[in-house]
Amino acid sequence: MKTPRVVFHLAAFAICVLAPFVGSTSINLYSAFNFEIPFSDNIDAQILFIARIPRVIAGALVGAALATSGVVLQALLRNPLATPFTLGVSAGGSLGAILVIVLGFSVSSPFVPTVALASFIGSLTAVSIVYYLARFRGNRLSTNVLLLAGVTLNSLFSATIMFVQYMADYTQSFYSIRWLMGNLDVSGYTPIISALPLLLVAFAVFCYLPRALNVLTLGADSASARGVNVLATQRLAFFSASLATGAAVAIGGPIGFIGIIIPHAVRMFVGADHRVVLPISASLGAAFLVICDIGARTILSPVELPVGVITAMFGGPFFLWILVRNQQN
Amino acid sequence: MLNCENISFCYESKTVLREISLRIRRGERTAVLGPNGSGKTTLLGLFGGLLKPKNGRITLSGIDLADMSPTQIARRLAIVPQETRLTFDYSVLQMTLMGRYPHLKRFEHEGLDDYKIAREALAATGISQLEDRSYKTLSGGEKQRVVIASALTQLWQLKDSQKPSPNEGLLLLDEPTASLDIGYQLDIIKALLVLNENHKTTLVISTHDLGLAARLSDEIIMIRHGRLLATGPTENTLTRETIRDLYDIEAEVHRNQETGHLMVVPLARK
Repeated sequence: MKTPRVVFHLAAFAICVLAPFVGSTSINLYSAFNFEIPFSDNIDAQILFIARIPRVIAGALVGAALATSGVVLQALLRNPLATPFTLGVSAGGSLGAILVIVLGFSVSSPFVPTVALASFIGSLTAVSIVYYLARFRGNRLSTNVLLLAGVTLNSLFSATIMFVQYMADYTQSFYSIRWLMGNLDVSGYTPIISALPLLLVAFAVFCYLPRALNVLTLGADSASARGVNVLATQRLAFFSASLATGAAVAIGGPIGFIGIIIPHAVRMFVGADHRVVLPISASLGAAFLVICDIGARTILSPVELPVGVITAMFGGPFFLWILVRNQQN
Repeated sequence: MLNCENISFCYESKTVLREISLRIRRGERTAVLGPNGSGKTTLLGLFGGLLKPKNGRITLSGIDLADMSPTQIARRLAIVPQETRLTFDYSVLQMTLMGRYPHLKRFEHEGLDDYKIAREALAATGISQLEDRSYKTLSGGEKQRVVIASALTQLWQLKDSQKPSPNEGLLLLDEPTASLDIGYQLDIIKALLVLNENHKTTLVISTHDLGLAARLSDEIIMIRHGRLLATGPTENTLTRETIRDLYDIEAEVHRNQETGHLMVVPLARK
């Protein structure tokens, strides 16, 4: 059974285009696109253009970023259990966000929401610490140190988050827990536009990496013997995946599960060649998160669920089904 | 082809190799012998450009390895480790094609010529029929032959005749049969002999297996405590005396009537 690759991309694209028209309130498309009604009076257009479309774009970007970072980090660490959150990036980002929520800082910036900015700074801090610790001895990064430092920082930051929450009052604590569950309700284009340049840089590097990542899965020495500049590849992979993860967490919070199941599901369908796995993971990651977010918006409507709950609750069994089906074949 | 002039190497403060000078000629089959920890793997790492000598220099076809880029080195020599484990599963053909890495540009995909070379390499190691199998499902001996095929794919180029030819290819094998049973060991030996005879591949093999060395090599390098103990043609170099000096063991060396090869029978620890 071989599905043409373009089918994955087309399906993902179709899902993202249709998604804004699905939701708890039905919108009248005719009036939404009727530009004779002033925008401030046009509720349908407001829902579509300010609530739904940015939200779908955010979902697609975050889903693509987390899925591709997962692919890159699994190859870099030569560990199929690695996720975008393994190296402590998301915990750093979360701590940054929680501190701002709890301490109530607000920098009035016209471009970037304060919480997102703080989250990104937190991610950068975590990345710098992990990189500093794993800095090459000899001619490559130590994947063991990367993993151990990442996992340790993850625990350290998570403990700090708990401490901050414990000290916080009820409302702040509530908000910060909500943030940690992941939410794509960006209500507007500002967070997307501010994260977009970072994501584009990361995606551009991802385009450059696949062939070297393939060879890197044979081991660093074997890759080096085939002419791969191992240290340069590791650095590019580490920083681009961290950048994508940091930007994704700044937009949507630490939405779990995508970074591990999408890469594995894609490999089950198309094999392990990163030149194929990376683009398809981007498309399926985007589609998967957009679908989960439709679920989050509609299942308990009018109440909205955090999308992070949906990704794991529905994605988990779905992934297990693929796994079992693959074992049987 | 490969020339070492007075090379030394140390890991941090521990000196692993001292003042080694030797020469590997094109088309030769060289066995590197030495006890555990004597520096065999380090020597192969230096030959392959994975490690940089502390002193001295190594030249490949007259050019200093230090002046060559990783891709330039990779087109001229390939390394086969003792064992290759994959993080993700690739097919035998995909894995063989990875040898084309140093020949392709960053965004280039393998073309028909690359497939041709990979298939010739699979044929040369006798595993054409495994092409579509997944690497992880193979036996140890089959896996090792895939890795050798991938290394050949790295060295070979299509010449005018449209038949792959070795491009001054040097194959470094680090204990390639250490984890294989005797049947697979013989398979690997056969495949290596075919490569050397039909494809003029130069072989350097580090090994603990004196039988393999006697059977396969025409030149021997012996190292102990990081120093060159003896080097020369197998016939003259693999003797009772050198084996005693190398491993502190008594052994009998005689010629097998059937194959005409030397045979080493270890007798006792000295």
